[in-house]
Amino acid sequence: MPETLVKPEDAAASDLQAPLYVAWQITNECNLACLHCIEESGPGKAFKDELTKEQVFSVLDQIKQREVPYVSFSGGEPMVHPHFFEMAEYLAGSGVGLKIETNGHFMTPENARRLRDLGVKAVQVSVDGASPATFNKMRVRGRLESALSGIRNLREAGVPIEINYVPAKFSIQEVGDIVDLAHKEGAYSFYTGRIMYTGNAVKSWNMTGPDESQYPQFFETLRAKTEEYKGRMRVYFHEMGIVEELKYRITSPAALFIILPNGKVKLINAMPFICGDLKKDSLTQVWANFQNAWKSPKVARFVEDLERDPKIISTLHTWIEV
Amino acid sequence: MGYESLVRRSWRKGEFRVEEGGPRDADAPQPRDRRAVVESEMEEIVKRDAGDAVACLAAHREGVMKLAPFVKFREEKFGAVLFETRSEKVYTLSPTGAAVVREILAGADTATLAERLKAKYDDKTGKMAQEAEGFLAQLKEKGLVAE
Repeated sequence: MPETLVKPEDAAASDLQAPLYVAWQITNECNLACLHCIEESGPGKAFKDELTKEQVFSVLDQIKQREVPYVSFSGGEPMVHPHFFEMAEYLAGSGVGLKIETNGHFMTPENARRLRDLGVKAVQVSVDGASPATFNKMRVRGRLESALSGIRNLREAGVPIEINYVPAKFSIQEVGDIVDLAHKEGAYSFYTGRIMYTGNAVKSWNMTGPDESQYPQFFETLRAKTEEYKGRMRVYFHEMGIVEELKYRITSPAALFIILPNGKVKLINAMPFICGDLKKDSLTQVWANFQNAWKSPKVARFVEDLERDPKIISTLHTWIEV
Repeated sequence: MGYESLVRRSWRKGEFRVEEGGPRDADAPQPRDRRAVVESEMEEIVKRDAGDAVACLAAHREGVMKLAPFVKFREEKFGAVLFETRSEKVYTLSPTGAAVVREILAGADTATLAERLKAKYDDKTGKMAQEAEGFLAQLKEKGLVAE
């Protein structure tokens, strides 16, 4: 019987009636102003044209109708969105798998229990340092204790926890400690990879960008930790550089797309291409555009240019319609 | 027997205890110590995955099959997909695979699955039912179906 195992990003998008995964940045507003934020989120950084409540619920309806099985809410900080819990209830209540990507600072015991009661599949919390010195430096206005308190509230409530970590020049040596911390705090998955030269990281690169010579030890530690925690916590990391990743994506587009806070839809976060606008287009139309857009010469040219000049990744926010 | 197999076997039995037979490794920790470590780890996993464990046990007690709680099913032109949202793995299914999962969703159990497929799809040779049995075993092995 032909049955194959693939990751969602490997599922042949052209064969599917709708995405398998929608990553929705529901607002660009954030309580923190992280040095490496690829979305350049922060206090007062909500887009002026973010989706209205009516538009948000129209998109949610389409997600349900098209049987998209899995959706993540991120931001900015998704929990500062004025309709965050209504949106979560609407989706989770209809059986769509929902994941929340948060900085954890608003994860009170009550909020954690609400998410538990909604049956969210996972809450991913960013922990970009194993010590207050590194965490607080990277996540400006953030506090390690606040993030850990949020994680403990999730654990107490029984919500599955994932931890995400972005290494910086001053924290990359802590990677082993952060994996240990993630397990100690009850995470079932841990994600990391190279910091991206885009968004706020462009401005802070002299502080945040690790030296290439730091990465071999980083990945070696991760390989060891993957073995150490086998069967207890999944350790995921991407060793592949962004160019290799995008080259692969051109031939095998992911079965997922990114909704921005204003309803525009990106092909993939690491490229500036927009394939639709959910304020005007239906999700079905955008999905069709998405599949054609990956074949655009503009997309292939961007990857070629990126290979020659890795710093053009800093132009991700200058959107290009395809 | 690997750790994950131990967990699955213990969950199937409905009790979170590890009892492993088989040859002993001279350098390995003593059975009692090893069991304590594994039990401790299992308890931890059971707490984290309480939703899965409860669902698996409920299905076991009811004697029915169900898709595991973190698995989503969607019909497609080529058959269907199963999406395991915790590992974010996608399983693409043939039309026969899709038919099997539809029967599971409709409440089939292991004993009646083959008969239901034979009747529904006029499977005179029994080939489909035979394939379905193998496929069902794969679904269970991958933890996509709770019974």
